[in-house]
Amino acid sequence: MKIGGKFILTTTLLLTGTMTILSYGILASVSAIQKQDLEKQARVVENSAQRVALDALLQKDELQLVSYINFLKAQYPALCYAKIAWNYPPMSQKIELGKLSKSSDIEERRFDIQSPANPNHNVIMQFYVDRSVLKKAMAKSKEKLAQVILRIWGFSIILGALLAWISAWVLTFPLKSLAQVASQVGSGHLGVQLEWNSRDEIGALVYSFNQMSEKLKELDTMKKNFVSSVTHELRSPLGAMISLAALVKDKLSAEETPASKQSLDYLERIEKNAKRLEQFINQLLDAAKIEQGKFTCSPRPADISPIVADIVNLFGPKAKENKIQLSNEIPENSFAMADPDRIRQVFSNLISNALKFTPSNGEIKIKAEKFREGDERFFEFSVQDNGKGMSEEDLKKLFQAFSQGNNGNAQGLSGSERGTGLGLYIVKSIVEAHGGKISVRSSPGQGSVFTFTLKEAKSAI
Amino acid sequence: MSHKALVIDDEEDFRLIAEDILKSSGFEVFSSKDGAEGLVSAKKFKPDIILLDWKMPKMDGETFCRKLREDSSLKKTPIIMLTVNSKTEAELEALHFGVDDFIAKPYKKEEFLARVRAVLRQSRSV
Ligand SMILES: Nc1ncnc2c1ncn2[C@@H]1O[C@H](COP(=O)(O)OP(=O)(O)OP(=O)(O)O)[C@@H](O)[C@H]1O
Ligand SMILES: [Mg+2]
Repeated sequence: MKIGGKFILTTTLLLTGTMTILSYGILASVSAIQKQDLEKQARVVENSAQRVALDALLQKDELQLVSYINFLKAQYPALCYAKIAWNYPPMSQKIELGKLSKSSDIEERRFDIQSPANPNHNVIMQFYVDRSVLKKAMAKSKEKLAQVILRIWGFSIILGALLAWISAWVLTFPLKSLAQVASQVGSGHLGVQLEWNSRDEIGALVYSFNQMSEKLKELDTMKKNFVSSVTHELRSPLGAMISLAALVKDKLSAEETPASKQSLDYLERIEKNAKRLEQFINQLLDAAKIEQGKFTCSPRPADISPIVADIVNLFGPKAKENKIQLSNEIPENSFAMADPDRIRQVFSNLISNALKFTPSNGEIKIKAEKFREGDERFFEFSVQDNGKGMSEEDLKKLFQAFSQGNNGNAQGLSGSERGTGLGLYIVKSIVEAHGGKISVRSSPGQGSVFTFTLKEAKSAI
Repeated sequence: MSHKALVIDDEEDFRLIAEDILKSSGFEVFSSKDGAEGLVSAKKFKPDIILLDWKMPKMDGETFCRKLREDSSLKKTPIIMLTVNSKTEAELEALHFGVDDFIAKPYKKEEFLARVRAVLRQSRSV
């Protein structure tokens, strides 16, 4: 539930609660007051009736009493029935006023009034008060009151909800902007700042957020500079070693002594190790770039067949040594949208893997097929071997950085073949940076097929 | 007449390597250890080609390029950039600063010479 919704809900609940308690209190006290009022009224009525009865006794005028009681009856509808026993010897008379209703809520009041001059002269008045009439009147006024309360209640709930909505908006507006900016930072736009100056908790939050974002940016730049300076510092001396070894090799190969032959062999070993280290460093740096989202490819129309031919040539001696048949079946003029250096990396990784994990007398095929999807034409390149294959479990982690599975960790691999498990991670990143997809089909003992797609170049330049 | 080449690199090892390759193919070679010194040598020796390292203290490759292009007698001298960066990045930088070609370190002798010769041929035909 959103903050606005919560605010409105709590305000409504709070208002409902207080209004319920308040209206219960008001109605209860109004009832008490009404009851008191009625009793007072009744007493006043009774007193005046008694006084008028006494007057009538003294003046021997029973009509005066009757008319007064009639007047009372008109005034107080609850007084439904009255009986007067007029006893003034020799005259005695019974008068009934009204009708006794069948309501069960009838209360009887009896007054006995004697003349002070002569106790034999008296009037007995019996009043029948219909309580249900009283109750009805009371209920009616309470109902009116309840209606007023209900109206106030509704009005205050609407007003309260409105206020809650406004204050929720005031509160959530900066939070929403903050969330937006935070997600920008999350997606890599470090250093983004939010403009918000308020001297409250939100202002403080925004202030510390801005500082955090700034700090992250600083750290990021530091990290980037670190990577690039490490790149330089690692590659540069290695490069010098490799080049110098090549130069010495050149000079030595001119001589033909046994000593120079051995030196040449050792130099070749130095060179091989340096190259292995260089490749590892390059892979690590590529992986670091991928992690940072700084890994870029610039696809352009490029013929894939010479690239693959070149790699097949490079791996030729090794394939021969292991009696593996390495065949390039990519037709000439296969122009795809590709960054040639990167695609070279892809093929050499896939082919070196296939060579590593295929025993002697195996076969490796590199193929290309064309297909269309909608308006676009694609190439599907594949590197297929009939080597060891992979288990279900290894396949799952195949494209993750540093994952090597069973084959990669095998004891039989020589030092330079052991690798790092970064190869396929980089391959996948390159293919995806080209907008392509990579997939693999393999099962233990059945060999493996790696396939990836690239867009076909519209026109070969 | 042999060609004159100027190698500018802050690292002695790389100067040695480039000098060795160029000298063994008949170039007359001069070398400098930073951009400022390289500019002085360039004015003095009027090289036919300059091999320039990109990351150097004092004056880096980029500044050197700009300064060289300001000098009327030297602005046509072709430059090959030497870099340890990966190829694609180097390519972008090189295009941006009007460098004629680039070679990634470490390089093979044959590739190095082939590129140097190609650039020389191009500059002569212009
Ligand atoms: N053609 C293949 N046949 C069988 N297993 C393979 C094949 N290609 C890859 N694998 C398995 O996938 C793992 C990961 O391959 P990846 O190329 O990422 O790393 P690596 O070759 O071990 O090391 P690196 O390529 O970094 O030198 C390998 O270790 C191996 O277990
Ligand atoms: Mg590999």
